[in-house]
Amino acid sequence: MTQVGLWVVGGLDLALSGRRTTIDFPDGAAVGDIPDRLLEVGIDAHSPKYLVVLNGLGWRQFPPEQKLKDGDVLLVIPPLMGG
Amino acid sequence: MMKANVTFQGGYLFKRLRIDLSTRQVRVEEIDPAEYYQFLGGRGMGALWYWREIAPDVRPLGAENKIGFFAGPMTGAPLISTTKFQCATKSPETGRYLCANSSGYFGPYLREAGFDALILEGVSPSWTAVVIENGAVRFVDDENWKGLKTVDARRRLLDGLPQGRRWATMVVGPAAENEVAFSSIMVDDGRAFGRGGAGAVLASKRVKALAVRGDHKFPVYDIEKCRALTKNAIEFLKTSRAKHRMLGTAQFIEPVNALGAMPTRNFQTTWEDPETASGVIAQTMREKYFVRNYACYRCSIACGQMTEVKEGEFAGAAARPEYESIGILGPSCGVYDMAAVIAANQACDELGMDTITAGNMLGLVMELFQRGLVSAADNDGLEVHFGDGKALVQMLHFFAERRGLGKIIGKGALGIIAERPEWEPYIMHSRGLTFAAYDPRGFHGMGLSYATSSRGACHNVGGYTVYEELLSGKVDRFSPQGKGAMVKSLQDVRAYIDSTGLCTVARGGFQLTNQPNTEVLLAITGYDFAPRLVEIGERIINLERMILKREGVDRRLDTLPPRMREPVPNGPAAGHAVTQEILDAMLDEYYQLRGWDANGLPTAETLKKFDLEFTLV
Ligand code: SF4
Repeated sequence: MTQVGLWVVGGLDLALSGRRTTIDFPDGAAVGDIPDRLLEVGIDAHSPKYLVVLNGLGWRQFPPEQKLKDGDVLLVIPPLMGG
Repeated sequence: MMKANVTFQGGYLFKRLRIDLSTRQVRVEEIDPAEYYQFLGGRGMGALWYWREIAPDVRPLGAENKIGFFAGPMTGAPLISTTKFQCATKSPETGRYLCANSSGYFGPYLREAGFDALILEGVSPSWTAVVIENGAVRFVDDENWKGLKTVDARRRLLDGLPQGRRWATMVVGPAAENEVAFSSIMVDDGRAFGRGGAGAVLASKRVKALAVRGDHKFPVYDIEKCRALTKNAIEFLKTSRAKHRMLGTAQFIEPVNALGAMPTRNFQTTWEDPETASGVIAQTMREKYFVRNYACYRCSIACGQMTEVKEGEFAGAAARPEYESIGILGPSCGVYDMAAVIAANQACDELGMDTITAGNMLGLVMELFQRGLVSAADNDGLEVHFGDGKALVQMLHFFAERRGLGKIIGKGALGIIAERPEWEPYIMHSRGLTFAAYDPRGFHGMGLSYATSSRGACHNVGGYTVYEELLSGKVDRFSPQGKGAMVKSLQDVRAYIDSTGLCTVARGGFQLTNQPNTEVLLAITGYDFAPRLVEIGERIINLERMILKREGVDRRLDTLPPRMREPVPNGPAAGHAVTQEILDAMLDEYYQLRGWDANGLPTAETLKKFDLEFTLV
């Protein structure tokens, strides 16, 4: 098991909103597995309603085959925009 | 000017109202349709007017400065969120070209009165309010206008006007009268031309207020199409902007802090412990202070969050805080009490000051106290420290009244630096306009955006990179790569959006993107602008750059303050800085893509491409 931190902020209507929690990924899981795993907790990583950030950077920035490791952190936020 | 081979069948009135305040002469001028073909409206038309009428030696608060207001083809159109209009003038804050946009009813009602644009020039012999009703203009002279807060001036103005159809208003506050370089023009009851000090320009003309209304029918090419497009847009925005209605832009406080890009303690740090920061996040605002939503003209999104403080030290305070105002008046001043932020926001609105620069100036004063560079003796006995919400609000009155440190602070960044160069390291600005509530060390694209924005450090005119830097996966927010292309594209889109008259929050509803695929401008004007919109945006940016060139800007002034070169000390962006090498790399890419030379100036070829040879004088 790989334990990845999950933090949902910005007032999103999600069960996990505002909480810091941890989700488990199977051993060997990689960045490309993030969307499926997030879907299991109700977060569609491809939806324009959310931005998914891995270790402070946009998750798509990482190669899909890059292995996840304990202590990685996913941050889920609303799509930011200027006024 | 290249002649357009098109005939517009709606969207434009082709009339500009020019008021000479010195002589009280009123003229109605014809606008050449070819100008709309090339510059669309709003910001584009403002830049063209500025190029022609505001010479480089014009003093911002001199009688020779002028101020213009410009609608776009969608301003007041029968769609949704068609509320925006633009202002252009020489800025007392930067000493250079200023473009600013505001929502509210004034732009749409100016069109109902029969005009696409309004120009004010000269200086009124006495304090006055300008009242425009259809084609008629009258002046309400009264020395007692002076000293009134914006809310009181507006109330008084409306009380003295005939009832019936609603009036739209613009007013300035005491800060503008006292030549505060960052004073705003308040539009209706809570929107504003905030940035750049347009309020002081209006006050320098002894204009306290304006009111407008009319009953001209708006010309539209295809009303049925407009209805269909509006229906689709409302449907689209219902889902995509649901959160805007619920939480407003305040929803971004928590994420930007979590990403380590929130200015805290005057940009000395970029992050606050989430527990502490929770005092000023959107959910707190909603739970404790929310009263109702506020909508601009024809807007179904209603993103404005009307808040009110019911108890405690700031009881009675009421305002509509936006993300930037909260970030700069709150965390950047070490204040995490939402009630204090609401009170400070209200003070800015009533005294008539830009919340963003006012917040930056408060951060400066607090840092000067922190470093022992000033004391209460310099400030009429008032100490102003990070985290002190009460002093935060009091100091805003000092700014507006030019009391204590307000005497010098009211001069704005460049005026302060001229007098106290040793304070420069504590002022976060580009070309005199202070930063919005994003630290470029957390999103390097924002550094390029601030450095190259046509009006000085602005997150909107400069291009809002924050979302893109996380979304695409093609760029890294801590790297210079790809930022030139990103900022260029965002600026071009913003320039054309600012010229339409539509609120940027709603633009997705009409597919006004970097690849516009929309019939909305066709439905309004009878001419399909869509394939040319990005090109028009680029033309506007190039014209603005030529204006700035005439005002002494080139690469040397596309800068960031020295603090940006220092690594962030802690939090999620710890260790990151926008070094000169990083900024240079971004500028090189950006200039090249723009067709500008290494000194940041448009080449003759680029000017020819955009039919801007007339700027080569
Ligand atoms: S989205 Fe907000 S700012 Fe834009 S028009 Fe609507 S209420 Fe005004």
